[in-house]
Amino acid sequence: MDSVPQSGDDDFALMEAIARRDQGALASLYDRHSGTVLGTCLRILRDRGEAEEVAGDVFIELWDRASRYDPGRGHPLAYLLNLARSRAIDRLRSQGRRARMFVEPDPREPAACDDPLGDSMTAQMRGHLDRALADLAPGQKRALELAYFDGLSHSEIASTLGEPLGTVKTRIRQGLIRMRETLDAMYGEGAAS
Amino acid sequence: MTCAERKDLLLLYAFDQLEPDEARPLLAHVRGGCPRCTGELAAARTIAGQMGLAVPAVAPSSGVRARVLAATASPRVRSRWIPAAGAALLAASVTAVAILVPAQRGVHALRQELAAARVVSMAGTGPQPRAAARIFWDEGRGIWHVYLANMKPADPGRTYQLWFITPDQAKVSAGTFDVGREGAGEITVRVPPSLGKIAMAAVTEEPAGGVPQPTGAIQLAGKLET
Repeated sequence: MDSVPQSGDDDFALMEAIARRDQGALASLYDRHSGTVLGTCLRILRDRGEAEEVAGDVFIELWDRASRYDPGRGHPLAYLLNLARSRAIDRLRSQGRRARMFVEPDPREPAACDDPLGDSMTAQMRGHLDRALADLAPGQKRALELAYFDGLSHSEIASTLGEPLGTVKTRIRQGLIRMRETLDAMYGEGAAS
Repeated sequence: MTCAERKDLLLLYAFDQLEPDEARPLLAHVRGGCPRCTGELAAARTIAGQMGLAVPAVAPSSGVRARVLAATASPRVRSRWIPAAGAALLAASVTAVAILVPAQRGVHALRQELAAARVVSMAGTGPQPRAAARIFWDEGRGIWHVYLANMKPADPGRTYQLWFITPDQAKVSAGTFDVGREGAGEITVRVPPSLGKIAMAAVTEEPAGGVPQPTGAIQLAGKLET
């Protein structure tokens, strides 16, 4: 517990400072995680201008709500990304836009950065997630992505994939449980190392 | 329905995959203060947020940062921990005593205490994002009953240490504890009356026997004062 936040662990300290209206702490959190937030927004909205607008709004909302943030509800980065996903999907729906099916990244889209603003904690979490997703059956992964990034209901996913509703529900449930098991096992490995 | 059965539902809820009529009783149970399900929900929310890392980070234009800072412009306040020397001085003047839960205490009496207690949550941080804890704060008697779940056993020669953190960031030891093989643990501590307000609680991993001031990474943290 050093005096100056330096790592992902200190996101909690930054959130505490933001709740005390420390704009410098907000700038630090922004510099650390804005690329990750924008990546999520861009994946959902698929429009650079809209994604940047929503990403900025997310940090402004974080500033306004920081005093109500409860560390017991989860890690600050997870809180930030859940907020980003929620706001991006709200934007998608408010415009009456139909979420698009998952497609491979469009080469014309802005190049992704190599997360220069991230930190080792974020990189570790990203690595663990990649492994957990790779461990899913293709059908589970696709259903999960449609639910998470495209905000589709179970019925919409079933329609999109041309599969029975029950199959979609089972895939999402089993996929999430599998993902949790894999992540738990990886954190267990970390404990042993 | 058992808490073990609720675990999967909480995961679905965190991913917005439950219908409102499925979510309502689940949330009512969590808000009722179940420490296990509260911890599971925090862990599930962390997984849901982590899913956002499935796509590459993209550097925003500089205009986004400028807009955020312009919209949030306000006087800056100090955000650093107070110097360690000041914290040590406070620690020296205040002794926090960890006490064991008396084995002879009746379950009924304990339930009554917990029902009347103020409840505070702690969530796992970077090293242990799955960890969770619930503090039942008996303000009348000045006692914390802390129940922890999903924790890794401390490394050999090390232990976990609970800290009271004051609004001015002084850190005062509340005692050390270990967790069982299933990752569960509990500790009951007396809150020093002279401590004044407590802003946060945190758990660090430290050398066996504990240390006067924290040296290890924060494993869990929770905010107490609003």
